[in-house]
Amino acid sequence: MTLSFHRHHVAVNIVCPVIPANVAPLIEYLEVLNRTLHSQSTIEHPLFHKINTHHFCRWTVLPASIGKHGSYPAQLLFESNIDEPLEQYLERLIQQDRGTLTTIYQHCEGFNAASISRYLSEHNIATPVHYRGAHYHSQQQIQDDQILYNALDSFIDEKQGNESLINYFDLGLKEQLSKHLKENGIHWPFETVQKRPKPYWPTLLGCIALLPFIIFPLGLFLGAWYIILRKHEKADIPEEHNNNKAARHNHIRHVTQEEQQTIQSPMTSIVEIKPGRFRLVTLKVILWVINLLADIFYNKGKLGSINTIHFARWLIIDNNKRLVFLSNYDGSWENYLGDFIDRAAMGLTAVWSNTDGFPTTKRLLLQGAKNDTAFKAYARKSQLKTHCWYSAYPNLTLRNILNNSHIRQGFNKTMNEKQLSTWLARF
Amino acid sequence: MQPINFPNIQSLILYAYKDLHHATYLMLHIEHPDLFKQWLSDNVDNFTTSDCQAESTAINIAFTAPGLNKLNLSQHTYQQFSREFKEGIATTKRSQVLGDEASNSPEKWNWGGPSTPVIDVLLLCYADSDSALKAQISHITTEIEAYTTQLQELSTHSLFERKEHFGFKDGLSQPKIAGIHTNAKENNTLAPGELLLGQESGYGTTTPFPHDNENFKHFGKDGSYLVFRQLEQDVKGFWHYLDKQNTEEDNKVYLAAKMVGRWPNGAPISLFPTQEPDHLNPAIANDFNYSDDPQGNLCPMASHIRRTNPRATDLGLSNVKDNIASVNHHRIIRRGRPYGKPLHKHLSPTAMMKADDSEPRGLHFLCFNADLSRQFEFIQQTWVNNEKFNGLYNDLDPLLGTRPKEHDISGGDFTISQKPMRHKLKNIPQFVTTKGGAYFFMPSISALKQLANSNQ
Repeated sequence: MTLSFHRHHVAVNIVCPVIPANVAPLIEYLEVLNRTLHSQSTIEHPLFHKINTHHFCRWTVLPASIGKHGSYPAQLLFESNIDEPLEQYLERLIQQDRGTLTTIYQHCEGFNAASISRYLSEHNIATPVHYRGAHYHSQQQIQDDQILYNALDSFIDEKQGNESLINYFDLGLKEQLSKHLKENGIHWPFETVQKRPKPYWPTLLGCIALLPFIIFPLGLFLGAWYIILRKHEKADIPEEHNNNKAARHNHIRHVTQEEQQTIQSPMTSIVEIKPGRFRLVTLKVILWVINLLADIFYNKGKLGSINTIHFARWLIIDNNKRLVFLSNYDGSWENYLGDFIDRAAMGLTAVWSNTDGFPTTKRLLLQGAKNDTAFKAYARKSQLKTHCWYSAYPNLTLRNILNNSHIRQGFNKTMNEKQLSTWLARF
Repeated sequence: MQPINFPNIQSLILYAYKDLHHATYLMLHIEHPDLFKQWLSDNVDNFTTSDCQAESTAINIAFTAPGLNKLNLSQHTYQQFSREFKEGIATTKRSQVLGDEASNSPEKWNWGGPSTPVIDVLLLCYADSDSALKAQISHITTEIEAYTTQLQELSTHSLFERKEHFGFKDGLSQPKIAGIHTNAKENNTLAPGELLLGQESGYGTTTPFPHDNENFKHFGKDGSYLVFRQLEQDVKGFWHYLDKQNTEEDNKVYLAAKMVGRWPNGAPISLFPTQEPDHLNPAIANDFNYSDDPQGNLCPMASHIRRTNPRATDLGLSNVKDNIASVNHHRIIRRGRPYGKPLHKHLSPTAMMKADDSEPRGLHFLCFNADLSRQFEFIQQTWVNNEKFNGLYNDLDPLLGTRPKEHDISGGDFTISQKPMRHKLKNIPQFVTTKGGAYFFMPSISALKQLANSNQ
C-alpha cells in the first residue's frame, strides 16, 4: 500500500482535431457516457472507476469556431490528473478499455486504432500552469484516508453512544483510537510519512542572490515593458456585456446544465489571446510565474486564500492563439467566481487581461476581475459545456481530503498538548 | 454614492412594517391587461412608499417575469432582467440549486409550480388590525375581480413574542443599508446596490438595471428582486426528534439551541454558551461575529444562523475584516412572516415535545436582494444546502436541509464541536418542506407609472 503514496501529479492534455462530420456524433457519445457515469446506479466503468491512478478527467469537444483573430477547427480535449508517467497511464487505459478509447478517437483526424498509445502521446501538449490542491496525495491515498476517517468516525460515534469513550485526557483518546486501528489491522497510518511540498526559501534565496546582478537590466526592461503595456491597455476596447442578453442567457443555460450536480464541478473555458507578440510573451511570462508560485508557495491546499480547487490549469492551443482554462473545484460556481474576485483578482487579471473581452485593466493587475458583473459575464461567455467528466472521489472536498490527511499524519507523530487538541478537533 | 430617492421606492423593500401585525398576500393572474393597467394607473399613488411612515394599512405590489411581459414591457428592457428572474424559481436546474427536490419539488407545490396556474402579480397587504386588513382586501378584490383571477390568498399569523413556529425568536439579524438605516454598525452595513437596482453595489460597481431610452427609462432603478417561498415547518417532527435524543430534558433545548445558534428567546449561544438568559437585551443580540470561535465550540459551524450568515467566520481568508467583507456580498433583507396556528400558544419546547397535531404551519419566507444568484441563491446553495460547508463532511442546515439527499451522502449529520471531541446528531429528518415559490420584481413608483402607461 505504501508504494502508491506520495506520487507527484502529472497533467495530461491530449488535444486532437475532430473530423468535421463526426463532431455531433462524438458529442452525443460523450454525453451518453457522462450520463452512465453519473446515473444513480453506477456500474463501474473500466475506463474510469477501474483506474486507481487518475483523480479527475474529462473528454470535451471544443467546437469549431470563427474568432476575431482566426478560425479554429473542432478539437477533442482530454484532461487528466494522474499519479504516474504518461506512457504508463496510457498503457493502463488501453489495457482496461481499448474499445471505448477506440470508439472515442475514431472520430478524430489521423487516428489509427493499431497505435492508440502513440497517437495519444503525440497529441499531448505542454501545461504552462498546473495547480494542485493536495500535493503528493495519490488517488489511492486519498481513498484510503477516507476509509480511515470513516472507520474512526463510526468508532467515536459508537463509543460515545454507549458512553465508553474515556474522556479523561486527550492523550488517552488518541491511544484509544490508535488501539482501535491496530486491532482492526490498519497499520499503515503509523508507518508512512507524508512527503512535503517543495519549500520556497531556496528559490527566494536564489533570487535575492541574483538581484544585484540583474537589477539594472531588469529595471530597464520592466520600464520599457510597462510603457508599452499602458499603451496597449489604453487602446483596448472593453466588451459591452449588456447587449444581446437573450443569447448570452441561452448560452449560460446550455453550459450550466451539468454544473453542480454534486459536490464538485468541472469548468472548461476558452478565450482568444489578444493579437501580437507583446501580449503573448507577457501572458507566457505571467503563466510561468504563476506556475512557479503554485509549485513553491501555493502548495498547501490554498491558491491565495481559495481552498476549493483540486486541480486547475491553463493551456495555450491553436498555435498560440487561444487560452484554455480547466478546473475541478468544490461547491457552487457563484462561490468559485466570488472567490476569484475577492481573493485572486490580481493573479487572474494578470493572466486574462491578455485575452479578448476581458474587463478594462490597469497596470496588468488592477481593475479587471474586480469589476464583478463584467468579469462574471466574461467568465460565463468564455465557458464551454464539459461533455464527459469523471471524479475518482466525488464526495470529498479538498478540505475533507486535507483534513483526512492530517488525521492520518497525526498517528505517526508525537504531539504537544495544543497540537493534540487541534488534532482531536479534526474528527 | 447616489442619494436614495425615498418617494420612488416601495416601502416594504426598506421597512418591515413591524407595527402592522396583520398581513395577507394575494397572488393574481391577469386576465385583461389593459383594464389592469387602468387600475394600476388609478392606484399608483396608493402604494406605500418609503418616504412616509405607514399608519394603519400598507400595500405593495410586485410582478413575476410573465406578469411584466403581459403589461407590454419593451423586449429590450425585459431581456436585461436577470436570467434567474426570467426563468423563474421552478426550473429543473434551479430546483437542484435551491434544494427543491424530492418532497420539495415544484411538481408538488400549492402554487408557483409547473402544474399550477401562472402567477403574474403579487399584492402584499398589511394592517394594524384584522378588521382593517379584511376591509382592505375586500376593497381591492371587488375592484380587480373583473380583470384578474385570484390564485392564492395567503394569510399570516403573528406568533408569541415574534417567534417563528419552532419556537425561536426570528428576524433578529438584518443587514443595514448605507444611506437608509442610521446608527448601523459598519460590519453590518451594505451598499445600497445590494438591495436596490441601479445603485452602487458592495463591489463598487453599479447594480445592473433594465431600461431602454424611450418608454422605460431607468425602469429597473430603485426596484428590487423579491423571493417568496412558502416553507412548511414540521414543528412536531422537530421537537419529537429532540425528545428522542438520549439526554435530559434541559439538554434537549440545549441541542435545539445548538442547531439554531440561538436560544428560544433569541440569545446567541456564542454569548450564552451554556444556558438561556432570563432576558435578552436586544442591544447585544448581534454582538458576536464568531472570530473567537474558529472551531465552532460555542456556535457549531453547521448551525442555522452561522451558515446563513457566517459573519467573520474564517472561510479561508486570514483576517476578520476580509472575511466579513466577503460574507457581506451574500446578504438578503428578510421580510417573512409565519402562517398557521402555533403548536403551542406560548411555543414552550416541553409542551411542543408532547403536543400532537399536524395542522399545516410554517413561514412565508420573503426576502429582497439585487442579485438573485449572488445573494439568495448563493446562501441557499453554497451555505444552507451544502453538507460540506466550511470543511464539514455531511451536515446540511439542521433546520432547512433537504434530506436525505439523492446522491450517496445523506446530509443528515449535525456536528457539535466540543472539547475534547465532537458529538454528532445523526439521521436528522427533514423538518422544512417547500410548498410554493416564485421570483418577483418589486418596481419603483416611476416604473409602475411606465407600466401603467405602456401601450403596444
